[in-house]
Amino acid sequence: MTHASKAIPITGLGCLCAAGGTVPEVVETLFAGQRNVQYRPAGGHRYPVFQLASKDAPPGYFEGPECERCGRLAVTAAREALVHAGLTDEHLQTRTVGVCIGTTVGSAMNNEAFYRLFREGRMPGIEPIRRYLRTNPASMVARALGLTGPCQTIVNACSSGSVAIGHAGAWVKAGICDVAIAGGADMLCNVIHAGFLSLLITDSEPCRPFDRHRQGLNLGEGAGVVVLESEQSVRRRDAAVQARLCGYGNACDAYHISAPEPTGRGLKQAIALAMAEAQVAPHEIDFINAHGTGTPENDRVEGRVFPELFPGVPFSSTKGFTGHTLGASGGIEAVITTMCLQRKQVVANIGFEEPDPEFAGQPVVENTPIRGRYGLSDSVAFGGNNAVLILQEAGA
Amino acid sequence: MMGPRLAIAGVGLVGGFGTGKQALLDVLSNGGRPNATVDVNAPSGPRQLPVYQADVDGARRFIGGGAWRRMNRFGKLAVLGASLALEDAGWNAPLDREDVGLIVASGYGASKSTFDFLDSMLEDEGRCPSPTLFSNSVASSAASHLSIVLQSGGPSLTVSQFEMSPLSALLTASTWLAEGRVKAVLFGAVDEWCPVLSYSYERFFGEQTSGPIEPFRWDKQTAVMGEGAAFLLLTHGEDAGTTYGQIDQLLWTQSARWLPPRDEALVIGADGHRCYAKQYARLSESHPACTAYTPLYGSLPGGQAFDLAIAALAAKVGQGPDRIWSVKCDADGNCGVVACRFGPGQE
Repeated sequence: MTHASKAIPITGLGCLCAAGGTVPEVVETLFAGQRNVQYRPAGGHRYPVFQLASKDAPPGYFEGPECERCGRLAVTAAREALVHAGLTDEHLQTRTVGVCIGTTVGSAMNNEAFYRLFREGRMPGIEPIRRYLRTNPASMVARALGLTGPCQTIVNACSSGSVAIGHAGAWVKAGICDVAIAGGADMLCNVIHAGFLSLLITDSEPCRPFDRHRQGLNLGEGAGVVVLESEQSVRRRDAAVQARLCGYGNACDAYHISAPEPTGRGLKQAIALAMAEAQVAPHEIDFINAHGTGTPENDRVEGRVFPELFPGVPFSSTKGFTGHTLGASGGIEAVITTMCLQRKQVVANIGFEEPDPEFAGQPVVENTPIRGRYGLSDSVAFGGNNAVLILQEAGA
Repeated sequence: MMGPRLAIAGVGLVGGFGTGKQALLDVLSNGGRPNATVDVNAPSGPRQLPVYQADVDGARRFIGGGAWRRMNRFGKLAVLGASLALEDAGWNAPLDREDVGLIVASGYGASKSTFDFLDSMLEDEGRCPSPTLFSNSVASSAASHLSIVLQSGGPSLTVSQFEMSPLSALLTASTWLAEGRVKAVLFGAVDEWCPVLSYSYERFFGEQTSGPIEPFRWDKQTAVMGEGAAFLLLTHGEDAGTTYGQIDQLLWTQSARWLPPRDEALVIGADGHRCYAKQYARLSESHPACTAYTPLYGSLPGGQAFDLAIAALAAKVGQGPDRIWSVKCDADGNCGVVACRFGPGQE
């Protein structure tokens, strides 16, 4: 199947996570090889997490209601992306602007304190529920920016951020909106931490994506947002283009509720769809920003698929700098992929030391120069949902 | 807002009215009402609330024994609604294909599994939270179960945008079909009841929650919680000759800025929530042909998918208009509009 190829300009980037509070800070941290790891107690142990530094968090982030955090992260990243894009309030008021945000925690009604009282029959006050109903991340972005275009909060587990960008691109392409603010946002929370611990896929050391001795993921929090804009809107205001979204693919494993299909069937299908839309050959892909969570099963799928489909193409996971930010990861990694294209350099896969003999290739261990024309970013989510974005340098 | 038309090739419904088309047609003729009551602890003492509760047992026909044990109720609702829509369209499951997209729109997601996982986490001081419950508590679990049962390797999307979930999901369905990403989209809304929701209803609305739903009583809170799944199998508009009809237009707008055409029927999503009364009152004010189907299935965020399925079915059996504008409003003043033409051979 082929799609009519029409790359969508990306005109703005916004990001905050444990690696920094803005896109330039995040990029500086990554290329400097710094890990900002903190530790969080759970189940009698302490686990590494990638938590936002207080100086980088939105004001009042840690003190305010927990259920607002995902939305506030999304709003902060969206504001940075709009400033970067040079989109003013006047621009926004004269365009149809859509919002498409991926999340996991941001849509979950899992307020631990409320539920603890509820199950004890103590009839908790209803304010947490009222707040939950006002904290849908896409709606929070729309309200904060005064936008009235279509909104969509995507909850495709850990591929949510990538899926959000892919679908927002389709909205722009179809003329549903002139501008789309798209990406992902997720926060650290006890419930999710307990969930991943129950699955025995949390590493008690800082994560080691693709390493032979990898033991699992470390959770993180943050948001990554891009501004997608129609060619017409870009021309009207003579805007600078950062990169272009030229391919998107999404496919299911149809295999298991939490484990990936071992041969990577769904991931290969998502890659094939994205490549067809981008109309690029495998050798034209200059690097891959891998999902690379550090879990044995997920990394095994990517570790097999990449060398098979893209022999010799450098790949790297940035989860060692950001942690696994779940629904935000696709958004954050789209921002990082764009910045790698601009710098013509791939970030070293921190945490990797010993190659896994099962894999025909290994991730880059140093910041590595590239041509920087096409970058691929993939997400391999719970339930077998695979999403792939192909980004093209602005001038290509 | 939307370009290409979407043909409705099949509908699948499960809710408090029962399972399948005939159950829905029965309540369409005889009137719908809540089919269950649940106990709720209120500050004034224990009381009972009416609800529209779905029976997922019909899903056993589509789900194998092992999978049945592992799948949560949210997933079963989705599999049942989706499988009925496929069956209605004459499609055989499993699909074993990659050109069918799956879209699940849900306001609250897998709420029962979410709280069941919290139970497992809070019991025994958090030593043994259940990995199975955690996997099932993820909002996309229904779409994952659906893709596994149907063996569908195509794209999948789960959307959570409260009342606007169906409209925003349909916008994406339209782009999938327009881009040629898929040949069909199995689109549905799924929401499930859980005790926390009943408790929340009681605390929000108190004594006003005893039903029945009176969608046109603007001065009174009459919402009764519903649950269920409503699925539509959507294909390209040019396939409309053999279907229920088609979706002509999708519009995301603000309820204060839009007025429905007066020469076609209006189906409003008014479900007894007083907070939306002003919006629906304005839209339906002196409209000559305005109706609401919410008393048939209850109040739930994905209600607009039920409205579309019911309207398509009603038109097919001559119990409803062949052109409708379906409207759903949300708390931010947004308004999701879907224009449909029913009947064979619509072009």
